[in-house]
Amino acid sequence: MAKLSMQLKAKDQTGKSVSTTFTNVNPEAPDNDKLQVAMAMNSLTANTYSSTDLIKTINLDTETDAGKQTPTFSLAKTTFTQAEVNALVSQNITTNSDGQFWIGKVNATNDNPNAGYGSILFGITQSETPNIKISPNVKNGYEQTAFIGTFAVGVFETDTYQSAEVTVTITA
Amino acid sequence: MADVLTTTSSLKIETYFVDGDTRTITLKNPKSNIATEQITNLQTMLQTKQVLIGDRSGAAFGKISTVTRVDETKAHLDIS
Repeated sequence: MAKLSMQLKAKDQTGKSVSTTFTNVNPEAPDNDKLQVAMAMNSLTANTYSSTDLIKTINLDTETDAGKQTPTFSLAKTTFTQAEVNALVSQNITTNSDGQFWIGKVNATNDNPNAGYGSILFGITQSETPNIKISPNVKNGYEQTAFIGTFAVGVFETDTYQSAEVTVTITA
Repeated sequence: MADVLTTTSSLKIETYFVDGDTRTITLKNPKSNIATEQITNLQTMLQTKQVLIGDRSGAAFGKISTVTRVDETKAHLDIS
């Protein structure tokens, strides 16, 4: 998260400018509360209050204005409907133009249930090695929203299915 | 020419945060007659509003530990 500081500016009895910087200011505190604290600090001095500036520092190497972006993806158990299970068990598989077929799904977590959804596709073609493509999609309006997606990869047996649980962490 | 004396005062407010972080806030040119009540009121304000937070984990403001007034007198000696 970007670091916040507050700079209190005042003038002493000779008219000289004086400034005091307060570090580690709480970004969640209302701006008016920040101002009141700065003014309360000034009231302990013989200086005349001028103004207070809020200073934000962002390390652009590791952060953005919205804070550190660390998307985390985890493969976790999820629920498949019976129809989805039946589709694979009966080998009623439809491949797409890339020769891939659906083997799993992506759900966004409760933190942001509207942000994302998607599919996991598995493909084998004669000229290529087996590949897995994870295709999360972001819904319109949530393009700037980081979300945690849970993926499920299923192993299907005749009548029952088991979900595999794997954790993958991707860091920005 | 006689020695030249300059006096500066500062108020050192030592603050404590619940993660164990301590920080000293230095205010220059403090008033000469600061009442204890002003300090306790400031402490209450910092505890309630949580504007200043701990360095290590953004922990909550705990309390004002000590307040020290430091008066420094410098004498520029006349060596003529």
